[in-house]
Amino acid sequence: MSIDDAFDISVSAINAKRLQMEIISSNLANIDSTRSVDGGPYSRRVPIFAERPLSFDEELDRAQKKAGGGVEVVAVVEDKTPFQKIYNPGHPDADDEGFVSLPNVSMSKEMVDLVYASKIYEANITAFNITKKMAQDTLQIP
Amino acid sequence: MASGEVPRVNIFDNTFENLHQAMSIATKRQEILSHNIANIDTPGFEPLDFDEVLGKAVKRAQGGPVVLEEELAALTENSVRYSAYVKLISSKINVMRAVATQGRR
Repeated sequence: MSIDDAFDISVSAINAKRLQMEIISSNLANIDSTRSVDGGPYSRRVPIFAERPLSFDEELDRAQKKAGGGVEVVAVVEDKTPFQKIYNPGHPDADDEGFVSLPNVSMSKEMVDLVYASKIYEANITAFNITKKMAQDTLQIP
Repeated sequence: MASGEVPRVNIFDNTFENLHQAMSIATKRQEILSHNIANIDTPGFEPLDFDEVLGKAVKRAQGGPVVLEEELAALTENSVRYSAYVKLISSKINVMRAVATQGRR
């Protein structure tokens, strides 16, 4: 147990939030994508965060980084909200009744999530810097 | 203490021991506060506190979600307190060095 552990914790959150911001960027970039890699319209992606426990009972867990504190993204799942259907029979991806299914991405929701994620990202950078000062102080002991 | 009496001070006391203990506690608390801040957005997360008596992390007694600003303020305060310990240990070492070298370098 040392100051390093606090660094690892803050860095885990910084990484998790950065990944979330990448996912949001992907959602926004694909807001009009009627064709995804799996066929069909693009589905909004959502990261699932889980707490990484502080303590560990076995050395093996620690070696595999299953503990040590902080947070991690355990999965990136598809939002199952139904697609919005717009009547546009001229569109190449329109179905038999002339409806086009559009991605279930809402610009305003993504932007709110982005602002929130970046605030938490910055908060964890601040926490990291505070811990860094502690480590630097330790080096000042004569 | 009668006037003219010089207080007896033993420079080989347990100051180092106490300060080292205090620094360890502050380091552990830093870890726990960082953990709470990292999990601000994690659903179902239960914030932790450092219990000095038990010497380990415990679940926070009063409910309510983690307030980011409060946690960051606690982190800063913890860091400042740690800096104070560092200064105290440094003074102690300097005093001992002055004694050991009789004031000469």
